[in-house]
Parts: sequence; C-alpha cells; structure tokens
Amino acid sequence: MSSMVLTMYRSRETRLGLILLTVVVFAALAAPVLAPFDPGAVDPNARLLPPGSVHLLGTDSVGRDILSRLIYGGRLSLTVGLLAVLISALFGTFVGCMSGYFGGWLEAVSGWLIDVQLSFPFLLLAIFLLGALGGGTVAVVLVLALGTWVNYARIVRAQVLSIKNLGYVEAAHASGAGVLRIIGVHILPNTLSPICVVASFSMAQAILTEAGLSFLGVGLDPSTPSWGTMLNDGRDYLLSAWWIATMPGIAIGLTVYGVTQLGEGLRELLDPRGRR
Amino acid sequence: MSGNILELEGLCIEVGAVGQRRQVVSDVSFHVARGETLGIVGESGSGKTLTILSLLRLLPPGASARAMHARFEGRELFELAPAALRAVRGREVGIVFQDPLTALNPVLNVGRQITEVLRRHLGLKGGAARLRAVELLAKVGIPDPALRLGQFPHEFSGGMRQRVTIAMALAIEPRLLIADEPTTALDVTVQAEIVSLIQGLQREQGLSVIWVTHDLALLARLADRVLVMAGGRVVEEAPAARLFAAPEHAYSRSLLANLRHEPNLRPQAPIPAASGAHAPSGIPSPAGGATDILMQARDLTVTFRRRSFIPLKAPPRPVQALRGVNLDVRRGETLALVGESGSGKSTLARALLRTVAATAGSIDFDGRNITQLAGRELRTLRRRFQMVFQDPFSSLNPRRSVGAAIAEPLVVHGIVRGQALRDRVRDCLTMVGLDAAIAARRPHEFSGGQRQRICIARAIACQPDLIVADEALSALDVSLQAQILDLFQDLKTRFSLTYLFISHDLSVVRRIADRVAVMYLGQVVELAPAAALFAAPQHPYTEALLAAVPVPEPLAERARVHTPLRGEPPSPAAPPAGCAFHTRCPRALARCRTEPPILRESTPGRLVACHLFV
Amino acid sequence: MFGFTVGKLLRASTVLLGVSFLAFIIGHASGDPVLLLVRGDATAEQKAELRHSLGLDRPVLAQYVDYLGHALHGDLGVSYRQHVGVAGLIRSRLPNSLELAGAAFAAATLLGFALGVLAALYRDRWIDHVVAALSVLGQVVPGFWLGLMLVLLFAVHWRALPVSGSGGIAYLVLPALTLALPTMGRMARLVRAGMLEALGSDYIRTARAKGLGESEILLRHAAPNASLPLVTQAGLEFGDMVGSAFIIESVFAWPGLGRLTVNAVLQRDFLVVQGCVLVIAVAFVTINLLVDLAYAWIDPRVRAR
Repeated sequence: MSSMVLTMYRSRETRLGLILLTVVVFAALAAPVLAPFDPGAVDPNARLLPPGSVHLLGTDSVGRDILSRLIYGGRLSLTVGLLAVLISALFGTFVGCMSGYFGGWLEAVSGWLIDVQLSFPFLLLAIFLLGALGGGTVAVVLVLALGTWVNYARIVRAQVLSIKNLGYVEAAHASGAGVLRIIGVHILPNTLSPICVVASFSMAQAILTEAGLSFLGVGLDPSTPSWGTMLNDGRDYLLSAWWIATMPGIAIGLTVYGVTQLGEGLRELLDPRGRR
Repeated sequence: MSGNILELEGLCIEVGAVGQRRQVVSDVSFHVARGETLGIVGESGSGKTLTILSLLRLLPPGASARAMHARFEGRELFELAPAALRAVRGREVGIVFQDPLTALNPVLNVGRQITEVLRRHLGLKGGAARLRAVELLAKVGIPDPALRLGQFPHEFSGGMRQRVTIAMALAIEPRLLIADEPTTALDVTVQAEIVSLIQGLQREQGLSVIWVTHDLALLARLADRVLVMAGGRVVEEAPAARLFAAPEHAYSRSLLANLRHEPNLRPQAPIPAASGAHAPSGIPSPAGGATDILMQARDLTVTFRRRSFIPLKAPPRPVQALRGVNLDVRRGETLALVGESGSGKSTLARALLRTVAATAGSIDFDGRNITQLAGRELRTLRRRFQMVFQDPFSSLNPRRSVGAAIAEPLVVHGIVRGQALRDRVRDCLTMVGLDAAIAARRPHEFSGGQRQRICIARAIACQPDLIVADEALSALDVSLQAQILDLFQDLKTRFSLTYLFISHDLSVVRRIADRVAVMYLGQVVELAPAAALFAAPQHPYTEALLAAVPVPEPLAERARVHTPLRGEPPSPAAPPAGCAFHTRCPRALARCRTEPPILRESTPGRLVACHLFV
Repeated sequence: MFGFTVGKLLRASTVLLGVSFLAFIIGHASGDPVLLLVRGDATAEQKAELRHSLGLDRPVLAQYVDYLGHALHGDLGVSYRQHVGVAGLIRSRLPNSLELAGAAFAAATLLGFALGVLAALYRDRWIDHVVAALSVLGQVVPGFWLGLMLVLLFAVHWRALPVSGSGGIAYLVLPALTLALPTMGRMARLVRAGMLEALGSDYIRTARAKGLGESEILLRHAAPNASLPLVTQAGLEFGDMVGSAFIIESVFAWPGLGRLTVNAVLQRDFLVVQGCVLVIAVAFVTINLLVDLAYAWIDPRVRAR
C-alpha cells in the first residue's frame, strides 16, 4: 500500500492531485477545528462582504462565512459521494460479475435494463425520484448510486469475460474448484484494480451530480451547507457578489481534479503490473 | 563486393528512456549478394528483428540505430532524406512481417491496401490498379482474387492473409525482400506452402531475400548463407552447408543439437540422431504391452452453437469441433495428439477432462463412464487428471503466490492441510527443479520457463493418474523446450504418469511419444506407435504433415521434391462431405467425396481412417 | 449489414418501450394529478368523479397502452397546469433545444477530434498541454458553474455577449460552449489516445514499410481506427449532454425542452414530463442507433458478429 502511494507521489501529474485530495480530506475531517466561524451563524451586519481579512472568502446573503461553509460543505459532499460510490460499487460489481460469468438470459436482461436506464435522461430520473422519495440525504445518496452503478457493471462484466478464459481460471476449474471459489478467489480479486479506477471516477461524478441536483433545488436540504447548495445560493448574486458562487465551484474543481488524478494514478499503477 | 545488394557494417541499436539507454544490438555486420537468400536465426531477445527493422528505419519509438555503413545498392540508407527513403520502401525493398493479422489495417479492404502501393509508386489509378491487384493476388495463390479484393483482413484465414502481405510486399517487384518470421504464426503445412511460394517468386523475379526466423531447420531448405545471432551480436556467419555440417561457435552447436535431439550437457541416455525410428530415452516402450485403458472416447462429438437473440437474422453456423472421435489412452503411455489449427485437438483434451461438455458420444475413465457426471462427483474425480496449458503467462493467477497456486488442487480436494500442505508444496517445487523457497513469491517475478515448471508442479501436486499437456512447450524457446521435455520424462518415471501430449510440433512429439494420434477437422485420421508413424505414415494427411516439417539437413532438404498441399484447411463450421481431407488430398478417390471413412485397423497395431486402406 | 441493422432496430424499439413505461410509472408515482386540478375544498366524491372522467381509476397497464396509442398519433395529452396540448408545448420548445444541443454536439465532436489529433501529433509540446488543461477544466467543475463563470467573464466583465435568453447567434455562443466543453475535453483525450495507439500499431508500420507518405498514413490508415472510440463515446456524450442541457437551459434562460421538463417536474405536471421524456428518449435511442451503425460502417469486423 505504502509503496503504491509512493510511486504515485513520484509521478508529477498525480502528485498534485494526491496533495490536493489529502488537503481536502484533511480539511473535511478537521472541520470543527479548522473552520473559523460557525457555518450556520447568521450575521446581518456582515452580509455580502467580499473576501477580506476577517472573512477570508467573504460572506453570503445572510452573513454566513463562506470559508467555514466551504469546509463543512466539503464534509457533506465527500461523505455523500463516498457512500454513493460504495453502494453503487457493490451493486454494480455484483451485477457485472453475474452477467459476465453466467451469461445467458441474465446478461441479456441486465444489458437491456442498463440500456433502458441509460436512455433515460439521468437528471430527470434523479429529479423524479427525489421528488417521489421526498429528498433528504439518504435519498440523494441512493439516487447518486443509481447514477453510477452502470459503470461498474460494464467494466466488471468486461473484465470477467476476459478473465474467464484465462489459463488460471481453467486450471482452477480443471482442479475441481467450484463456482464460488473460482469467482471469489480467482476472478473477483483480479477485477479489483479496474473497480478502484472506476470508483475514483465515479466519486468525481457523484460530487458533480450532487452539485447539479442541489443547484436545481432538488438535492440536499438547502439549509445544510453543501457545495451544491452554496452554488444555488450564489446564483442570484452572481452580478453583485460573485464569490458566493465562485468559491464552491473552485473547491469542487480542486477536489474532483484530485480524485480524478488518483484514478489515473491507480490505473497507471495497476495496469502494467496486472498485465503480467 | 559490387555483387552485393546490401552491405551493413557496425550496426548498433539502443533502446530505453533518456538516461537509461542500453544497447540491444552491437556491432552487427553482414552483406547480402544479389539473388541470394540470407537466413538470420536467433532466439527471442537476440535482436534479429530490430536489426532488420533498422534497415528501413522502422524502429519503434525510443529505439535509435547507427551504423558505419548501411549501403543498399550503393546508397547509404541511414543518410537518405525522408522522400528518398519512402521511395526505397515498398519499391526497392519489401517487408513481410510475422503476424499478418496485425500487419494489415483491419478497417480497409485488401484491395485498397494493395492498390495504394501501386498508386504511390507506379502512379496507377482506378481500374488499372485494380487489375494489377487482381493479378498479384492470383500470383500468390489466392482463389477468386477479384472477389477477395473487396474483403477485409479478418475474412481471410492466416495463410491467406500472409499471402496478401506477400502480394503487397512484392507488388512493385522490389530487389530485396525482408521476411521477418513470416511463417511462425502458421500451421506447418501452410508454412510449407508459403515457403514454396516465396521461393518460386524469388526465382521468377531474381529477388534477394533476408529470411529471419527462430527455426534453424527452416533455413536448411531456404538459405544460401546463415547468420546466427544471440544477445544482440552476430555469433557466426557461414554458408548453410557448412553451418549445418560443422558449426564453429558453441551457441550454433547447441542450437543444432537441440534440433537434432543430440545429448546436450545433461547426462542422460543417448538418443540416436533423428532419421526415423526412435524410442523415448530411458523408458521401456509399452507398445502393445500395456493394454490397460485409462481413458477412452467413443464417438465423441462436440458442437459449439452460438445463440442469436436477434430474430430475422440467421444464427451463425455451429462449429463442429469434434465429429465422432474414437480414442484410447493406455495406462503408462505417452499418447501424442497432433494436428493443425481447426483439428480439434484442444477441444478433445478439454472434452476428455470434462471442462467442455460433449454433445454426443461417451467418455470412460478407468472403466467408468464419466460423460454425464456432474457436481461433487465430477469434482472429486478431477484430482485424478490434470492439465498443463500453453501460455505460462496467463496460467497463473497474478494475485496469488506460487505456493498458493500449487496448493490449489490440494486445498480444493482437502487432501492435506497446514504444515503437511506446505511441505507438499515444497516437495513439488523441488521435483520440478525449482528452489522451494520461491513459494511465497508472485508469478510475475519468474520467466516463461520457470512459470511452466510451476504449472507442472501444480499439475503433479495431487498425484494424478493422467496429465494432459496442451501445447505446453509451444510458447518456449527451443533450448527451454528440451529441458521441460526432460522434466516431463523424469516425472513420468517417478510417478508412473500417463500423458496425453498435444502439440503441433512434430519434432517435439518425436522425442516423447509412444503412440501418436493425428487429427484433422475434428476426427482422428491415424493412430499408430510413434516409431512406425514417423517411419512409414499411412494417411495422406500424415504424409503431408511429416513432409512439411523442415529437417535441418541442407542437402537432404534441397534434394527433396516439395509438393505442398493444395487449398486451405476447411472451416470447422463447414466440413466437406465424405472424407474431410478429400479437398486437399493428392490421392483422393471418387468414393472419398461422398463416403466418410471409418477409423479401423490397417496393419496390426495401427488404425487409419482412409479409403485407400480398405 | 442488413441483419445487423435490423437487430439494432429491434433492440432500440424494445428499449424505447421500456423507457416510456418507466416514465409512465414514475410519473404516476410522483403525485396524484387530481389534486392539482381541484380546489382545496373539493369533496372525496368530486375527486373520485374527476378521477373517473380522466380515466385515472383504470388499471395502470390499460392507461399505459392507451397513452401509447395516443402518443403514436401525436397526441400526448393536455397539460394539467397549463391546459394546452402537451405535444404543442413540446413542439414549440423542441427546435430551440435541438439548436442548442446540435451546436454543442457539433462543436464538441469536431473541435474535440481536431484538438485530439493535434495533441497526438505534437505530443508533449505546448499544444498537447493546452488541450490537456482544457479537457481537465471541462471535466472537474460542474458544467453549469463553468457557464456561470463564462457569463461573469464575457457578459458581465467584458460585455461581449448577452447574459441569457435567446435570439440570435450571440445568444447561442455561451450556452453552447458551456454545454460543449466537458464533452470536447473527453473527446480530445480519447482521440489523442486512439491516435497514439493507432500510430504505434503494426499496420501503420506496414504502411510506412510500403513507402506511403505521412499524411496519407494519418488520414487513411490511422484516423479511421482512431475514430472508433470517438464514435462509441459520442453516443454516451449525447446522453450526458442532454442531461446537462436541463441545467444549462436553466442557467441561461434558454427556452428549450429542458427548462420545460424541469419546471413540469417541480410542478408535478406529469403529462408534460412524460411527453418530454418520451421525445428525449426517442432522440437518445435514435442517436445511439446511428452511432452503432456508424461504428459498423467504419469497422467491418463488427458487422461479421
């Protein structure tokens, strides 16, 4: 593990991403300690202040400190993203593995379902479902998971299809190993690397989608600080107080960049080794 | 020296990232006279391919070459301007590469790929270019050339594809043809055809040829002079006759020795030089003696059907991989299964081991019908037969240690546990000639030969009765093959194993087999003791197969009249009626077209499926 | 090729059926339209009567089939909120959306391809880095945020382009650019990778060995192979683009289908939503079908399967 991190650090491109990501995660974890103000503290006297010495990134329409909201918002956005990734990874891998290994009608049906889901504009589906489920963090996590499980299913299926025919799987079969052992010991561990790569990219996707949903007003509760809700807040004040909308965008950009670079780094790392 | 079309002196090639350059080819010099064939032989890593690629400056990015002289027809190749170089390529020097599938652009049809050469160098356009392309295809022996012009590379078989690349290379009648392992990826009978084709064209056009290969035996027939390369250097250069008769350098000697099955440096019973009758070293031949049958197939049929979920579209034709195979594997023997691609030998092995389901017929193991066996019963039975696969790189799970891989059959069957398990793994490793301490390491740390040994260790771990080796040596260099063969023999004696040895390489089969079964298009066409088969083959296909194998004796090879088989091997999806071989058989009777022959005894102890022997 | 096309068409139709059914189900689940139509003091009987007159008390499957039947004739119902025909509403907004999506898609694909080829040819030079930076930018920030920033820059700061609305080419630039950027970035990277791989492959080596010129090799040998991943991705990107278009239309007040749909969802006007979804799904499926066919046209190996 540590050697992996070290190798990635050495590569110039991934180094920056790794550092950024570490900073963001650290900030999220240390939020109570790091944030200079209470993210929810309303201060009518300090409304719409531009970035300055007291409020480093300015204040919003009701006087809340942008920096603190950003830090706490990161917490929420990252947690939501991570949960969504975990759920979608588990589900997507399961479906991908089953359809790749067993094929037949299982594969046909899941393939068709995936096609149907992909033909349906996701944002619309998300808005629908959030409306039906009534919103809230859990609903958002589930909807985000819905948006990304397909990536896992596709990649895992493709991997399983190619691994299935490799010598060592056939050898295990010829040695008398049962289906469960073959999948659990031989196939799944060798799909871990692409899954990790997909996980990083889908984390990025989840963060961006959450931002979009909250921006439209259907995502997380507008009163809780998340990067998406902050963007929504800032939209009306674009001309007068540009920082309210700009800062969260930058935060998202840096985080997503970090996560994406992690994904790229993982892909580079795991590919040549895994090939042999 | 003016009779030389190519003169190379002091070629050096470097590869690697900046700051990590290393020389892979050092100080290589040779010349090619007009009209002669220079053979370059070497194993993998010898630098032979890079050497010839550098001549036309086709090296992969990251590799750079320089030489004191690289003169082609008096011009310095390395100093040519790009436009002049392009004029030389294709027009004066043609190249044929090893793998015709990747050498051809998959999205352009064959006609386009030929006519663009004509357009670029001769200015031919449209109809004139097409006509010439059709002529070229006909000349290289492609039937229906006008039709095939519009087809794509994936619609051709391997041999046909290579003919196309030859047509492309010789389109403008160059003066030098460079062939980089052009027949390595092809079946041996197809190889014979391609060699005849190139030799014919060479005579017709007065070509000089550089033929690069790892198979020295091939050069006995082809080459006037031979260059031996190893480790990026020229090890020996000599006229063919002299090299084969009296090689000077130790490396050349060992190459030849491997080919001729002479004893190397290992102490073992001396094997007589290859010339016909031959007994496997040290092991008494059980020919006829041991009639205890371990595994038996009766009318075994395997058909692969591809389902089509799309209505209105006809499903693709089923592939008849095995069409009624009858075979016995006797206890204690080494039965070799030979055949070319499409013969069904791999499918037979897998059907016998029940990793592929039989569509019809029966399989018996040790007296018991196992055709319908399934579930736990089948799994328990599996410890008695094991398999070693062709590709050592994909046969081991990259995420598990070597020890875990070897222990797999033991763990699955619950044979031993804990310390006993670890000890057993160590024993297996030692028995295959590897250090027991490597059990904790991962497969990617080892070479191909070592990995194959690990796979063999895995195969013997649960002490099976039968081991199937499916082209287990094909991915290895010749020198390694000899070692692994010795290992197989050794293990057989030690554990009283029975082998089903699948190979397309007859020289390997000769060394190890007691009996040989020859397969063609999903059926066994001949089954006989090895000595008898190699001395006097009966089935016409066996004859052709043996005739196609290059023998490392230049005089004998050149004296022999080579009549390669006509036509292409038929596809298993569309087997011909009657005898499957009749489309290419030089001795086909009228009967052969309609009536399939049955495998029956022709002379005592030998079975043949041919109407000529009824 | 014919069999291939037929197969794809059949699959597309089944997918469309599935999508329309999904839209129908979700629409029904999202709320009871009767509540939208009656006043707060309506009695239970009045509601039941209304429900019956609208046919909303029949089994779901029957309603669906009925809806489908009408839809095939061009009748998508009447909006509960706006009391005008859904089909008419869609018809008025659709051209705007097509204009936006079309411009963005064309820009993204063409520019993406060109930039990708350039980046591959001039690998590791400044243009490669610029393309890489652009593509990263397009993918790490939310598209609509990028749109907001572009508005800040071009419309507010430099006053070169209008802030929002529609009307002429000037109004199209910012929204189309915003929509196109993420896709353009991804395409450029894909094309660059595809190009590099093609240029390093054996058949290119053969082409060089035949003495062909570099530009001919690039155009006739490398480009078709390099464009294959682009073609596949194009279908997926169109899907993403339509999704993003909802938000972008919102940001730029572009009078398209996206805005109509989002508002309808928020207002629980489910017939409008169903109609929009159906139209969008048809567009999706058609584009994907075209993509599949284009792929098969370029790569003959696919047709054989």
